[in-house]
Order: sequence, then structure tokens, then C-alpha cells
Amino acid sequence: MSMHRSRRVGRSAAQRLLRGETAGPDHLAELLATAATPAERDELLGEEAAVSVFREAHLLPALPLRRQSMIKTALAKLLTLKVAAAAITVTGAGGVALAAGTGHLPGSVSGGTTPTAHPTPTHTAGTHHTAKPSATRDGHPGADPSPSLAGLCHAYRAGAGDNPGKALDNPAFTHLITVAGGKDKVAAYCTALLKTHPGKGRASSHPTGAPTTHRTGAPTTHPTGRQTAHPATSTHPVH
Amino acid sequence: MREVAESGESGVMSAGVGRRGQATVRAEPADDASDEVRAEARRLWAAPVDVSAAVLAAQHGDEDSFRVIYRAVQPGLLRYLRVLVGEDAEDVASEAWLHIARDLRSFQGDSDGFRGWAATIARHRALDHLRRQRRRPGPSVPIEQLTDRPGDDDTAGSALEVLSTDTALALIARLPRDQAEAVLLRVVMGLDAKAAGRVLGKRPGAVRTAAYRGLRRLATFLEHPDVPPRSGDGDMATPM
Repeated sequence: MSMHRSRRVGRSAAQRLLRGETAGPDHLAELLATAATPAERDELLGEEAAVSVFREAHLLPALPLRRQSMIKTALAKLLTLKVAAAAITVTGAGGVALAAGTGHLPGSVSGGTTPTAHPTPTHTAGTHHTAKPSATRDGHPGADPSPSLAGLCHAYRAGAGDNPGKALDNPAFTHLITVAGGKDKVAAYCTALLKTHPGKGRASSHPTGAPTTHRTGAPTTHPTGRQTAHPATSTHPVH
Repeated sequence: MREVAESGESGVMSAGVGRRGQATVRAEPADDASDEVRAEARRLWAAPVDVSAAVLAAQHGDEDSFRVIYRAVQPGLLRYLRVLVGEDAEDVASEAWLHIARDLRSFQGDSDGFRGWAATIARHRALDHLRRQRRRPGPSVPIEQLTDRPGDDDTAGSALEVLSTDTALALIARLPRDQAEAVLLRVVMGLDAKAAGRVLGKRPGAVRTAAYRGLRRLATFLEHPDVPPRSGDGDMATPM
């Protein structure tokens, strides 16, 4: 044993080590095992941020948009529904918002994108992990579109790396563009917004006033506009 | 998987690699607790958590499944990135997860495939990061941030006393990048040589060779903790 570890590492010994097969007090094996120890707590600090990106990416699928003509419709619908749900919550009809959230939202996303995609039981059961709809369901009166603005910003940035101008052609960003005050202001707006939302993971649980302060009154007036712009879809969840 | 000699593989063998040292291992035997942790670690990289089902569910929008994937893959990804980009690893990892979350639907494959895919994304982000960093003025060699920490000149020596994940990674970071990457993809990402080769754009044989050389050099570090790394060793900031 001592001969083995003090000499050069043989080729086959190296391959066994790399497969995690070698046990015993060999220090090289110890070194590798230590490098591969299970997760330390601080290594998972980005979980909420990653999940929030996942959430947004899933609500607004395939942002780099290449083959989207049919998805576009779904996205526009989705956004309208989201905004409608938020608007309804703001006016106090929480129960209706819930219906909109759990009933129609996930269905319209998955139905519009991949035929096999269905809201899984965990998703619809929607305990504390569900996306936007649960935020409205929980009845936070302030669950305005601000969380999804942060999400849109993340999404925009993800897509913008490849092609900033084109990314904004996605109707999903209409809302973001309007709130930011123009296509050319989106980048700056997102920089500012994400700075005030550093812990974006819990964005839905603390509806900060970032967008509100940025543009007074916008969040409440805006959703109504979107709602009327698509009367067919926006009335859908209500009934 | 029988290993055969691949002496024909390319790669520059550095002087000092494979130098035979006298047996100067001076650590106390590890206590039972850390033995257990290491046994667990070996199990983890030999048979990493299977995330196939979670990937499928996450592709259909299941958030909890995405969390499962994150917890299974992120530690290895972050450690791999720490060796590639030093203290910016967290940022680069976030960027990588952003891409993973966004493009998850387009991924096709099993658990190992997913790890490889995630590693590829992370690696591209890391190389982009290093390129950007090189364009900026100022000292920006990440590896120095790892190896020039106070008291770090005796990394290997102290590693023998209290081997932490940090010191282990700092030692691996002293390897030339191709060797460090090969070792890390095998050990912390749990990829086999073939999958690691796909990440690195190399043949499996080349990955085995690089990993093998990396291990030999690591053994040398451990046996000669007093020998400072030669300049040029572990120069991760130079994309090939």
C-alpha cells in the first residue's frame, strides 16, 4: 500500500481512481473524494434565482424565437391572461384569479407549445412552489406584474445576448417595452429593475415597488389596457 | 472498461511530471466521519444521482423537478467553474443556469447526457468570460486568486492535514487546464471519459490521458508540497 501510493500513479490505477473505485488511505484518492464531497450549503445559494428563471422561461417559452409563429399566439394569449389575472386580483376578485391561474394558464402554455406538455400533478396541486398564479391566489393584493417584469428582464437578457433587437420583437415583451417606455429603454430599465431585485428568487413574495416608482400608476392602468386589447382571451378566464 | 496504454495521445508532458518522490506522506489517517463523507463522495461520482426523470418532468414545467436537477448538478458545476474562472464562478454558474433553464425543452437525453450538456453550457460561459476578461485591462488571472491566497504556498502541505473541498480544488487548479478539466469532469461532474470528451471536443482517449497526467501531477503535488508550481502551471486564463 505504501509503495503504491508513494510511487507514480499507474495508468490503470488512475482510471480506477477516476471511477471512484479506490478506497483506502491513498492521499490522491482522498483528494479526489474531497473535491467531490456532497453539496455544501453555500453552493446551492443560487437555487431560488435559477428556479425563478426556470419559471419565467417556462411561462414564456423559447425566447430566442426562431420557429415561433404559432408559439407567438400562445405567448400573447398567455401574457394577456397573466395580466388579466393580475388585474382581477388587484380589483379584489381573488377567486376568479385563482380560476384563471390554475385552470387556464398552465393549460394554455403547454397546449400552445408542446403537445405532450401537461401541467404535472405537483404543478397544479400548486402548493408553495407554483408560479405567478399562486401568488395571486395567495391574495397578495400587491402581486402586480412586477415579478413577471423581473422575469421578462431575465428572459430578455438571456435572449438579448444573441440578438437584442430581435428578441424584443417577441410579443411577450410588449408589456416590458411599454413599461420601460420604449424598445431602446428596455436594457437600461432591466438593469435598474434587476438591481432592485437582487434576490429575484422570491420576487413573487415581495412585490416591491420598483416598476411602480419607476412609472407611477403604470402597473394598474396598464393591465386594463392589455385586457381590453384582447377581449376574447381576457374574458375567458372570468367565466 | 479496460484501459489500454494510449501513448500515442498528444499532449505536452511537462518536466517534473512523474518525478518519483520518496514517501513523504505525513498525514494522520482520516477519522471515521470524513471517511464516510469521502466514501459517499466516491459513490456520488461513480454513480451520480440519476436525474433522467427529473429532467423529463422539468421539461414539462415541473418546478420541483427542476430543483432536484439543480441540487444534483450545481455543486459539481460550480466546482468545475471555480477552477476555470476562480471567484467569478458563481456568476458564470448563474449564467449557465439561465441558459439551462431557458433551453431545457430542447435537451434530449438521459441523466449523463444532461450532466454533459450542462457542463458544456457552463464551459462555454466560462470561456466567454475568460475572453471578456482578457480584453479588459488589469490583472485578471483567476488562478492566481486561487493559489496566491495567504498561506497558500503550502496548499499541498496543509491539504494533507485538513483537506477541504477548497484546498482540493486549489490543488486541481494548479494543473494545466486540459488536465484539470479532464479530472474535474470525471470526478466532480461524474462524467465518463466519453461524455467528458464530448464536453471538451476531444476523443475519450485524449481525456483519459489528460486525466491520467493530471492525477500523476497531483500525486507529485501531494508528495512535494514544498515545490512551488512552475510558472505556466495551471494557467487557466489562457484559452487554448
